[in-house]
Amino acid sequence: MAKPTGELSMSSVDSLPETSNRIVAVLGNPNVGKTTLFNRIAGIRAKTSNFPGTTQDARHAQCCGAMMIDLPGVYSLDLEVSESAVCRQVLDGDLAPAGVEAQVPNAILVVIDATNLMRNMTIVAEAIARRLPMVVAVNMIDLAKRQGIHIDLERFGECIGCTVVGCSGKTGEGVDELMEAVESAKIPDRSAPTKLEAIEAWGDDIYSLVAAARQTPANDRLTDRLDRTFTHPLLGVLTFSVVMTGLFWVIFKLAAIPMDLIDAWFGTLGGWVAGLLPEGPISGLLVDGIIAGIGGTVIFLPQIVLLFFLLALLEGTGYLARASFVIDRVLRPFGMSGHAFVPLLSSHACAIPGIMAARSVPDPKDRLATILVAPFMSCSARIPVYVLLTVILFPDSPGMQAVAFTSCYVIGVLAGLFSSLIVRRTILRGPSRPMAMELPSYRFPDLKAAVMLTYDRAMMFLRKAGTLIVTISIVLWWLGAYPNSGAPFDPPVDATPQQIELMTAKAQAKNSFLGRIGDTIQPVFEPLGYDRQLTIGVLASFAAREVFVSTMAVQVVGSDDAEDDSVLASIANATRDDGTPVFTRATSWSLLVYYILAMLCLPTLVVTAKEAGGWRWAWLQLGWMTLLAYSGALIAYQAVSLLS
Amino acid sequence: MVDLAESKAQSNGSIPLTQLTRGQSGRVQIDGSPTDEVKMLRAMGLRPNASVTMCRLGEPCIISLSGACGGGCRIGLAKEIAGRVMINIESHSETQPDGQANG
Amino acid sequence: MPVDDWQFWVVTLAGLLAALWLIRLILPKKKRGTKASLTVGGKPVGKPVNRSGKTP
Repeated sequence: MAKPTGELSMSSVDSLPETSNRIVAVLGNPNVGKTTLFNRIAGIRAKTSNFPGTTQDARHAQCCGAMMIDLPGVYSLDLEVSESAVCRQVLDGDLAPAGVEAQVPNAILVVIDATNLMRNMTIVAEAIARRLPMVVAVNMIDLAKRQGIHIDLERFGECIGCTVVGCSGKTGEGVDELMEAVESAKIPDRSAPTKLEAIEAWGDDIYSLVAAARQTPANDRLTDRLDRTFTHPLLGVLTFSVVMTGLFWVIFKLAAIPMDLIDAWFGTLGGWVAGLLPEGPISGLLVDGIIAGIGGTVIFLPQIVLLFFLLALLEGTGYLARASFVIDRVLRPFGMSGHAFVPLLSSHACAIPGIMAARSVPDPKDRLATILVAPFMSCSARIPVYVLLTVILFPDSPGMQAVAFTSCYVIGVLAGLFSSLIVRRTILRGPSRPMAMELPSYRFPDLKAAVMLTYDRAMMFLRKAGTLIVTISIVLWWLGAYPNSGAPFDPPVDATPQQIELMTAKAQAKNSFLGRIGDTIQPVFEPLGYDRQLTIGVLASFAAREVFVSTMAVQVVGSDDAEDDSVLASIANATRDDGTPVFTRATSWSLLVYYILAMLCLPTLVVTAKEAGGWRWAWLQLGWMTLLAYSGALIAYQAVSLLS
Repeated sequence: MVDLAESKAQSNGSIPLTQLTRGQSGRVQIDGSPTDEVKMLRAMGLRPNASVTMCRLGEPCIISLSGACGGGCRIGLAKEIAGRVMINIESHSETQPDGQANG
Repeated sequence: MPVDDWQFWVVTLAGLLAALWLIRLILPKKKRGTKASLTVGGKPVGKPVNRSGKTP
């Protein structure tokens, strides 16, 4: 795999005026502490974006006089996995994080694990073969010392012909020395073999020359016992359920407080802006379109932040790797792998970061299946709808409300599994790839890394979802605001001015574009028991599901700045045009089933298209979920109507 | 570099990883041309003559790669994959001492 | 439609821009950047990756 030297291609390309930026590529196996080391070097300057055209995250930071790019962890550059392909392309100078100009790196920093030296020699050999200036960082040197492993760094450096620095990303030991070495990195003056067997032999030889370990087996018994417990068919599942339930409980409980605060804050902001500006369309657009849209996005943040933070911590302990194997057993018959666990779990907060997390699923078909069914996992946007409908259905029984609420989640998961099964037997035929994964040692999680990861994910969500939701809110607002004249009517004699205002608003809503669209589409939903108002609510949910409640509120009440309780009560008591209640038992059940199963979120659709690599997947997702939702709601409505 | 023929002569014949008992050790034997899966496993550390110790049988199969993995390099494998990894059992079931030994 | 209300035009413009932005999302994307180029060694570049500005 010899390549033209870095220098050669650079000089021919140097007609570029500003290739003055040095690029240092950070390469290494997974689980060697590369991320921790990178964070220590880069600090808060580390940014996460994306390698264009790939599914890999790109962490990079401008520091120490160079653009440092943290490459995905790979066991070897020579594998057919996307991580290896991305590393190859970056080292070839063909790829760089979005926003960074691609060029052959000026230096490679190879990070290896002091406690696992021999296996890491493969990537060292491959890096040497690139003939680029290079430095080897022997990371986790503190851990090695504790385990009685001693490495002769100087000798190591002589053997491979470049500088070798011992360091610890965790404690910071040796990092300064490392960065100095990187700045003055040189092309190795020895070569390394390129064939697999030769590399392995070469690695063995070097290892025997430079490393010495105490003759004690590491105290693996605790690890063994924990592993056996966590992967046990019974205990493992039990542990898993407990951990997951705890996770969910914490997320829902803790997130509720900031969510209420955000809700109140945006309400106040809206009121303030409305008071500031003279009444009119612009004020309406700002308050009911933009601010409401932004608020509707931001309200997700507490759950997303908590979820990703806790997941990062959990992963940092090493438990998640074991849990993935447990879940793998469950998911594989349905055509997904254990790697789908985190994406599907994350989708319970919001499918958007969940679908993006599917990048970690190695097998392309497994990954696609995960992306397609992720929206079935009941996201937090559905919660207001679930709450509204379960309260309507079981007004006097909180117990039944809770049961119904939980069942919604269960149905979503089952529908997802079922859909994955079908997809994997038809379009994406093939068995699910069996898992082979390194199990990192149990340790205390790296809080800093968890925080940084969470921050990255949160920002990504805000950017992606935020822009979409706000845009859709603007369009929907306009369609609901114009033409802003309702059919003239004669108010009843004893109507108060307030009531007249409400009735006018209602008439206006009916006559708006949105209302007319609702009227046109409503017959489609007739068999499901929805009237025009519900149809509009469902349509408006395309912006974001929880928009349903506010849309209903606007139609029913005329404005939604009444007290929370009475808004829900008003919605529950809403009447159709002919005077009958909107939320009959049958309609409520039908609506509930519809919301569990329907793809009602345009932003999610867009993200699916991007991550799955084509709009046909998004349309498939939309089509299938709509079909399932419609059928389910139809059956529910007709069945409940018949039985009552 | 240990000769494959040599190691064959020493061993009692190779068996799939799934037939190891807990605590039993052996050395990886790789025959034939590397498939993608073999390449991946090899890069992860399951290379010719790597010393593995069975930690957990079944699904998943958990093995510990000893010898130069003093910190406990453990790999979880689906049973399906484990069944395709061939192991030469050491004549004694003690693991080679970690250290300067090759492999 | 209140065509004589200047505010109406402002919000309509906003709505149009938003709608256009959404429609653009759905349309097939055109890959930007140079597609084919040779490195010094005469090796043709592999798949057209969305490169950020590298020129041969």
